[in-house]
Amino acid sequence: MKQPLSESARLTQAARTRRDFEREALPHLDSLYAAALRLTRRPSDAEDLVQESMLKAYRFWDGFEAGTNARAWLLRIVTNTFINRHRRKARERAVFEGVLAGPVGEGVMSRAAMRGLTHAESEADRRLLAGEILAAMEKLAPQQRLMIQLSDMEGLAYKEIAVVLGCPVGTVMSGLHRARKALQKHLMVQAVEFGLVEAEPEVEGAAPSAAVSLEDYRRQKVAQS
Amino acid sequence: MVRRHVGAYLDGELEPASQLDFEEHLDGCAECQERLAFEVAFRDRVVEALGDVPAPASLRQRVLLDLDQAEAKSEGSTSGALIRIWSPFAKGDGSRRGRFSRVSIVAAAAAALLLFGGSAIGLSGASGTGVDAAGLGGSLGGASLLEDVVRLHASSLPSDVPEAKQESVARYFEGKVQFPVHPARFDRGDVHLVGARLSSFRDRRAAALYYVAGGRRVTMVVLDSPPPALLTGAAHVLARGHEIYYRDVHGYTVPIRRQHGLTYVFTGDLTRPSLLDLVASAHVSR
Repeated sequence: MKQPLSESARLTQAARTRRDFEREALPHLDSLYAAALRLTRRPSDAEDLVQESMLKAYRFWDGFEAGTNARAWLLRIVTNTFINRHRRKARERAVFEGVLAGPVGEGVMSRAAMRGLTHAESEADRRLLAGEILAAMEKLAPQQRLMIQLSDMEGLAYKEIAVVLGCPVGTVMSGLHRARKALQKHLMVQAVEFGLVEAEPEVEGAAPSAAVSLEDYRRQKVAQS
Repeated sequence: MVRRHVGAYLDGELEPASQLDFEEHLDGCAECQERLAFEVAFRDRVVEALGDVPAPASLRQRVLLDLDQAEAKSEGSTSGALIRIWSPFAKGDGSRRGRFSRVSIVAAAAAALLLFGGSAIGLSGASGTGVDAAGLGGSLGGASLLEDVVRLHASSLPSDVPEAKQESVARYFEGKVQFPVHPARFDRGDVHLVGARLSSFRDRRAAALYYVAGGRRVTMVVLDSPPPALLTGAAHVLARGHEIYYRDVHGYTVPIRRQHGLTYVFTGDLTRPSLLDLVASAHVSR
């Protein structure tokens, strides 16, 4: 008769995959759902997106390198699944790239405006502001919402966000900057509309050249000294 | 004016040299200090506004059920070969189909899992959901799609097509779903196509077609890749030479017909016998 096998040897390949997947991937379900919600905006769509992504991740679990960042890997699958699903007209991809690669405008915001957008005296004000921020988020492109979610809520490093989005780290930096600017701009427009903040003569800076890169800044400094 | 680096600075993502430069600049620039304070406060507000959104428990359950099915599939079948199972009901329309009907691999794999069941239970150990859920998994996966179909029917969402003609509806779906949609035709004179709508059911793009039969609404949904477990446990009848499966979902009878690789799911405000008869009489291919 057969020799008695050890517990691990008795586990079939499929059972081992299942066990590893439940251990490594399943704990990230909340992160994946939150990210999916930023992409799709609708809870039912987010659930569907995560479900499909998890099944893909399970099927391609061999492709995951043990010990590397499972959360980023899974988030990447969610993002790709989202893009593929919306790519039928190839528009979303274009939007995606545009969002990440476009020029970065600089807004000039007054002190009053900055204060208006961040300061909430009462609980009611806080709720109002939170509602406005959510509404402003809605106006961003899906990938902009995702970047803000990953950076601010998930605390992912740019390097990890780059893995998720499949783009260079530098693109994450400018993409995030742009996403936050856009969020502030939309919020500003709403805040003015609701009378939270007084209208500004110049909400969006007309001169992107006002932004000086650190490299330029350093060069200037070297020149001065 | 290093405003565009404020974000990266706060994220701790500046190169050490850039960070030093930035901080040095910050020391002497009131404007940038204000800006930084604003960015910090703004980020706090964003974090507050977005809040934590935990995944619903139902999502975890759905994922686990998927895993059960996928695991069963890889356990039970060594190749992707179709498994044919004897079915006394599969004579019907095409002679080519013979007397065997295709049964999804998962159904067969689920049967295989039952055979291996004893050892699988022993092995699943930590994951208590293992085999119990696998047994249920099939029917739940299929039932939830049917629930969506019923919901669509009950909510009577507006039609997306300007005119409810066979041709224009077929054209409407071109490029929107990955299969040809030919609105079903009926011999009865009192059944009319009244609209259509692109829908998605559990990740699947589907075509929903609205009919009125004898003054009552009927919805037909066309899918190309139904969940493997859709028919598991469904009742079935043979009517007018067609195999019709059906389930009861939220008080609606939901008949399912399969033809030429597509799945047609119906429901409507009709009694079961008249709905089944209507479904059997539908001409669903070109």
